[in-house]
Amino acid sequence: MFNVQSVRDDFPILSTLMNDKPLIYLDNAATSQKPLTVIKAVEDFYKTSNSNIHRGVFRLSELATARYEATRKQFSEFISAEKDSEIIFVKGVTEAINLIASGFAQTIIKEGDEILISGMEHHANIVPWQIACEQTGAILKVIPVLDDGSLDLLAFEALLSEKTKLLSIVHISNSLGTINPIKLMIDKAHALDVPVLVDGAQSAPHMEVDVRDLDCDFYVFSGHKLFAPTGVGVLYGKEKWLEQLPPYQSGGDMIEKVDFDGTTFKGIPGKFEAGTPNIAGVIGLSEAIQYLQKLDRAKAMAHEISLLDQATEGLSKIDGLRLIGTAKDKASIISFVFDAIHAHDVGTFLDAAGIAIRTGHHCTMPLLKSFNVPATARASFAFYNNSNDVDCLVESLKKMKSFFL
Amino acid sequence: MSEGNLQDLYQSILIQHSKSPLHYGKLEVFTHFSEGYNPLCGDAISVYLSVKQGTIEKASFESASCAICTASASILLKAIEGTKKESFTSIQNEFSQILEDGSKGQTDTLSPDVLAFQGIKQFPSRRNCALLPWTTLKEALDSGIKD
Repeated sequence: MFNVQSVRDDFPILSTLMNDKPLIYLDNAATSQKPLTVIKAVEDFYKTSNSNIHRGVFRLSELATARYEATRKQFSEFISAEKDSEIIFVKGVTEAINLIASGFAQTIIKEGDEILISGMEHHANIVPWQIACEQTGAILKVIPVLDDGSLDLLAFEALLSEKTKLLSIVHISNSLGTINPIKLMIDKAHALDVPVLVDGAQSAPHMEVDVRDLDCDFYVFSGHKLFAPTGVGVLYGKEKWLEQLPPYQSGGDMIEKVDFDGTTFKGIPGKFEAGTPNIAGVIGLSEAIQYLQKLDRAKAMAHEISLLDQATEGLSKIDGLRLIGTAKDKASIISFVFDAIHAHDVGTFLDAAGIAIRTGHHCTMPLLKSFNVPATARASFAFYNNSNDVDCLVESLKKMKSFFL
Repeated sequence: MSEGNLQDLYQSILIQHSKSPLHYGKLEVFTHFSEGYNPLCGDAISVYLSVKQGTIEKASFESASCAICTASASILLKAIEGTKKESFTSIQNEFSQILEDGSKGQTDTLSPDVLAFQGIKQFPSRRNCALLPWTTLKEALDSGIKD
């Protein structure tokens, strides 16, 4: 059994009050809470170790550089990358995808080429490709989503072709919770020499990731959804791709030599890390990884799925409530709508009960349009949520109905 | 915030307007039109106006929106019908004043129903829900384009 109470004690915010009620935090797909060890690591860094990296010859800077680079190594091991230099620190998934899209637009994509994404992508995995297509004359193709919220895999195979220059696909849908069969999709894409970018924003927090086993060409995720601070994330890319792509931003720290006659860039990963990075964020991310490595992640995920099952059962019994996304393979994210109550009003009502959920389009407007709803209410569970959280959600929704209807 | 505050926000008059909004539907003939979106929640509203010689003779809306936004549109379009285009700014200012300073307790030109929006002050994230019909109507008046 997974010891929920023990992990809850590690997250100080979970024992606070919200609107005079114990906080029930069910918006983990938007951002996760942070364990005390992560908060303290960031604080300690600023108190005792703060310095810029890759610059100073003094001891303090050397120590900061060593910790920053040790985190790169730690990450490389965390996701089973082949080389530490395949780990690029970025702000988060949005920046990671922009970096790749911009690089592909400059060097790889040509007029008439195709980029393949799916109908359940977050705006961060749509808009950069729309811009890349506009710049190059390439065409954005979209794998349709079936009524249950799973991908139409037959359509996927039909859409893949020699024109496809990249498949960029979300691992777990942030709006529906659907876990996409990415290993199978990567195999199909590779059979046609199509590289694959996996948006791991929602998968890294829920499951162990092995990029070599997946054989994906890029895997990107955000620290803040992985129990680390905001403003830091990781772009993993196979060396052969990172070598090909041009720098995304330029300036200090990404160069070997600057002359008015020309500049030479560092190799990877430095080429992609211009300017002073989020050093404290990286230190916090390092601590978050250590925290996760101490957990039994298989048990943590099983616990999350038991919460999902409990929520699915409880919500399904509420008249007038409809679940959006009922795929067979789902992570602990549950989206729902009421026939007669708008999601925004649901969110405000639950807030008064201390329950934080997300309402709206979840940055997936095309997906919601395909379900013909303008907005959903979404509860997303982390391993620190418990069965009481789900009970409170279900009971509050029942009360809400008598309030509004 | 508590369930008591919720009652302040969702006053029964507001719930009534949201369940049975006035002036709902598309005008068959209109001279002014605009669509408004709230990117935070995905709410969408279309406003239709028929303006003749500076008077808003008919006004209606269609929306996929929350209770606050729908009720706000209902009250606004009822208030605006039959008024001069120029008077919109003063009506809008009166509404903004009610959102910001709920304590006034009376209205000048708007129907007293609008006082139901006093409670929104405690819910800053819902302010834009109430404002969306107003900004959309303003755009419709400014555009004067029949779509």
